[in-house]
Amino acid sequence: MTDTSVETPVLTAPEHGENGARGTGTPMIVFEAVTKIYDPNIVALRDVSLTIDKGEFVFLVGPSGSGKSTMMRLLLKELEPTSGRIIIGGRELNRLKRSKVPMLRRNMGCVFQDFKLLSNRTAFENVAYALKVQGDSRSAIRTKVPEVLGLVGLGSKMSQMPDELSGGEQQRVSIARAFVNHPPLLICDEPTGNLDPDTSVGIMQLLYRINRTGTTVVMATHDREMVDKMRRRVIALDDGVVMRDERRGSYVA
Amino acid sequence: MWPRARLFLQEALSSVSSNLSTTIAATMTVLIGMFLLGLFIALGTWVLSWTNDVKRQLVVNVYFCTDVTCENEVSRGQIEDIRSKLVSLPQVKDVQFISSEEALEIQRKRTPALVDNLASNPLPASYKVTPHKGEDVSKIAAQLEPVPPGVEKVNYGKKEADRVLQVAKIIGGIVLTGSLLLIAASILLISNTIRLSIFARRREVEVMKLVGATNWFVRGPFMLEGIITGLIGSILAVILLIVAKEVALSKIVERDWLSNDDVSALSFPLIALTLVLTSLLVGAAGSGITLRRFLRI
Ligand SMILES: Nc1ncnc2c1ncn2[C@@H]1O[C@H](COP(=O)(O)OP(=O)(O)OP(=O)(O)O)[C@@H](O)[C@H]1O
Ligand SMILES: [Mg+2]
Repeated sequence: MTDTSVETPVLTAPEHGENGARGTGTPMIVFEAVTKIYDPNIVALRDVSLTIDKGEFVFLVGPSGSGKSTMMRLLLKELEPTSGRIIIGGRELNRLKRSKVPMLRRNMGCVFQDFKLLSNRTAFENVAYALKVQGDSRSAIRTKVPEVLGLVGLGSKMSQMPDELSGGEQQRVSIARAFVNHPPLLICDEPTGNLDPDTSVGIMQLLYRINRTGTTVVMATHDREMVDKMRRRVIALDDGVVMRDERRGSYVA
Repeated sequence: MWPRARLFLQEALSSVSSNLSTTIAATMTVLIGMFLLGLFIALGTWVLSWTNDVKRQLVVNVYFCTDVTCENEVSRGQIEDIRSKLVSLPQVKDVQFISSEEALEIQRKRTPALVDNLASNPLPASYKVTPHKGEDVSKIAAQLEPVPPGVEKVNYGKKEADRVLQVAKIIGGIVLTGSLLLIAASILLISNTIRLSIFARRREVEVMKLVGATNWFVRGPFMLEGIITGLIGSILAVILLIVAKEVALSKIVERDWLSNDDVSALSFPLIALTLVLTSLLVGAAGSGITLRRFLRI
């Protein structure tokens, strides 16, 4: 579970993160003057410029509606920016061909705020789907999926449907699915939002361990205690504008 | 390619079973649409074949002079002249000579009482001219205008023939537009059912795309599902048609006016094949086209 040196055509994890907290100097994510305006006239992001290096662990904080989820959706190329450029692993998303988008997403684990589980599939099958899309063999799926589900503490609930799981359990299935590929980049939208403090700490430790292996982790959160305790880079958004970007930051200035 | 096909099939089958109620609804739609279409094609082609048979019975009768009807009885030479003239016409398929004795025999069969009381044979000899196409009887008759020497009159049942031809034309039109309408209606109905079931699952498609599925990876199982639905629905429709044919039609065909060997519907295997292929195509294309808008994520 600690080996994430997965070589991929779109993104590559750094050789080894000697210090998980700090970046390696090569950029993983670059936002260049990105503005996103939703359809009628809602400005979700306003002229955002930032760089996140490979191997970094970054908290994205800010009040509700400040644009955190919008940033994640832009990274997945689920949305297009109204203006500006986004570069991931050296690839400019605006220029990325439609046919290359699935490749990008397979190399990017994503924990969604609303989980986005397939409602008519078991926990096992939900995680397995992320492997099936890239053509993994059935034997590989049979070993990788239970392993990662065990890691998030759901080893005994693999054959349950999402609606038979609690909110926190669904969230952990979503985390397992995001990580089962060992992607070089993991973006998590409030991965601990529905979890009790003990489980939250467990998930944070898991994310920390994942980051230690060189995976870049970007995590949007409202969990003040966690942010203050971890002392990692904090990017604070407010009303679509970057208010603060601190190397060893806290939840509030 | 092969493991992928197997994966698609597994995905499609598990999707069929987990969305059983919509699958059944779609299958029933296919079943009803294809059953009606099959029924209509069978009946339609049968009626067309029947009108063709009626048209085939349209002939031109050329009645020759007898010493009663004209001044002189027709001569052998005149009869031969008219034959060669008729045979040379492109519309004519066959010319059959019916002597006055044969005419009497035919009449005797129809109305024995009338013929038995006759002192002598009043019926003239004639030619029965069969056209290639029923529509040509009037043209052939026009070629014998004015009436050549030795001929009393030329008759092709003008009124009757015109009516038969008109009815045949109308029936042909009804069968054609009916089939087209029914095909269009069942395609709309089936693809609409598919649309609804895919609309209900568009969140699923969105999630699949966001975790890195290619368009074809999403589309494959959906299209296969459409094909399976179409296949099952149309096979059930074919079975139902066979039952209907055995039970209902066999009773009607007993009646003699229907038991004409020259009249038949389009062969059943051909109808069945049409139905199955139509539903397969609509099932696959319907899913594929509906999915397009949801795949743009
Ligand atoms: N699809 C959409 N159409 C129109 N406006 C949208 C859409 N999605 C988000 N918004 C608006 O964009 C702004 C930013 O939303 P976003 O979801 O990025 O906030 P957030 O920081 O993730 O909030 P939260 O912490 O509550 O998850 C909000 O004002 C929201 O109302
Ligand atoms: Mg959000």
